[in-house]
Amino acid sequence: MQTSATSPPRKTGIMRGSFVIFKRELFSFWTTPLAWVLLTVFLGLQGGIFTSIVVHTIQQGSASPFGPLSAYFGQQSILLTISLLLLCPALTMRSFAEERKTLSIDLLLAAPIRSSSIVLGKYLAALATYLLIWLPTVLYALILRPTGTIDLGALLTSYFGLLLIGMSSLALGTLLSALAKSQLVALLLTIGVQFGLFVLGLGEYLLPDGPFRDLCAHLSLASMLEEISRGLLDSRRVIFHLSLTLWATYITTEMVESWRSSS
Amino acid sequence: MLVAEGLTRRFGSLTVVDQLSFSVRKGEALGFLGPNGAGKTTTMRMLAGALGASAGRVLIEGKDLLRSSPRLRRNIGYMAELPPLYPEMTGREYLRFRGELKGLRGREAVREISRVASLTQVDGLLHRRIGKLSKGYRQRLALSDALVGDPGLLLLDEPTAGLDPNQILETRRLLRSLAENHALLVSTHILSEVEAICDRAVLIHQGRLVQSGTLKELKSARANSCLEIHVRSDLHELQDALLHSPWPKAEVEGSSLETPPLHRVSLPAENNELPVVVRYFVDKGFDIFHASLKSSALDEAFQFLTQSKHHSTSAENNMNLNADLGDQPSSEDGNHAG
Repeated sequence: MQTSATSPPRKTGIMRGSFVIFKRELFSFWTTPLAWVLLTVFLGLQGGIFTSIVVHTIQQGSASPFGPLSAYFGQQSILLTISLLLLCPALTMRSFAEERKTLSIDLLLAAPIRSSSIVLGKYLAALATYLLIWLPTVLYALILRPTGTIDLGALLTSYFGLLLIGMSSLALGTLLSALAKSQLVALLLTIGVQFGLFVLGLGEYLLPDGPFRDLCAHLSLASMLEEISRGLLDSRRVIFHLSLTLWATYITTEMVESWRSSS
Repeated sequence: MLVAEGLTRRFGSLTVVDQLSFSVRKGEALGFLGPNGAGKTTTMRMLAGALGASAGRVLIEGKDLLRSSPRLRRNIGYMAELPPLYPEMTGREYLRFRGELKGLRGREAVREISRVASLTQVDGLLHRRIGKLSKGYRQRLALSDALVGDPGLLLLDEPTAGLDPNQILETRRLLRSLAENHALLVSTHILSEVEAICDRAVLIHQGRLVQSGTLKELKSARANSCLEIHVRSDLHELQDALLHSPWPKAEVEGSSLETPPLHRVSLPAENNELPVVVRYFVDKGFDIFHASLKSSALDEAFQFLTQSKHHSTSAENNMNLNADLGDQPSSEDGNHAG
């Protein structure tokens, strides 16, 4: 009976460890119904929005002076905002909450990888799934291309803006999944926080001029969507979303580290 | 290979593991015994690095597990109780994932998966989804996982739970052979398992170390408090003598059919009381044919050690429980966030 391995294993660095977790998470997303259900619902909703904008454009002219795609990405499409508020929490709700519930988190915590690798791997897998779910919407641009109404710069800015929104929302969702002990609680917490930020942004339209209104405008998701749909991207928004992403990822890593270290 | 020093884990003000210290050497199998809820699983999780300790430390090959690089954990193979495997993966995908976490890649990983799957006899079912495997196969797959990368220290929490009798015997043989060149810690409350696999054992109860030593020493913990004498006499005379003796709770059993019959008497007395006991019965005119420390089975020792400690600590722990109902561990005796 052979009971010992033949050669010593290689090193597992932070990125290598993250990549192993990333692969498993991505596998888990796409071999269970979750990603497929989200993809179907999301594309069904987006297809409906896009079709209605195109029909409106044909019948009554463009809903946006910058063309139908700008109307699709811009604030006139409140449904896009709502689907964004629901998509990211659904992608991150399982991240840690499910592993903690089934205790499979122990296998990761006991593994010879850093806490940052665990968090990064899970986060990047959610981000990759988010991007894959958005990918088919590129078809809308291809469909409208012959009409000559596509502004490539605005299109790329729109997708970059959606990437930023996704990055910060998913980082926040991953953090809240680490805080919650059930998927449902994680989902509701993340929707709650995202919706709170969204409502805060509406203060831009409701409050009188002043620093608080400026803050609301700075955080406003609706304003950001409106800007990116016209090809504009305020660097302060980029910094805000990147900072939120880094902060949430850092706090999540510290939480995971606290589970496996002294308390 | 493994040293636990003053390991303590508290959940709020409830102390689940209290100042636990023991060690396991390479080439040794140590049984980790205790009744349900004794703190075994929490301790195993701390030893594996999956749960932080409130106090104390875990040393692997002399290095502090928490202060060292995560690479030190490559030396640990951990099999959790009721193994939480990923049901959507096949056995092969799962072992590959676990191997990659330990730094194995490509052909090396494939070879290692074949080796561990063959050792635990799951090689025929590696293509099936884990969610569709029986409990026994999942258990053996979890054991394969612990063996991936050939770690020097194996921490196995209830390794034979859910296996059929043939699989139990096979697994015990495997663990016995692994113990020859690994450090093996087997947490269980199945005493025959400890006797079949282990050289030594530690017994914990309510989070505290109750006894540790070789199995023989553990058994003698019961024997030290029980003497056995064989007396030939009339039963009524014997019972009357016992009733007026310093050991009125002595048990008489196994009387023979001879005249007068031979009785086996078990007395709750300490080892050093043996001459006093013998003199007492001789003075009363009984013929004593045999007098000794009572030989004890491990289960008797287990029962004796855990029940006798229970009375002294239960009141204290009940107070703790009442004070901490809002912060109780989620599983057998532990949770994550604490």
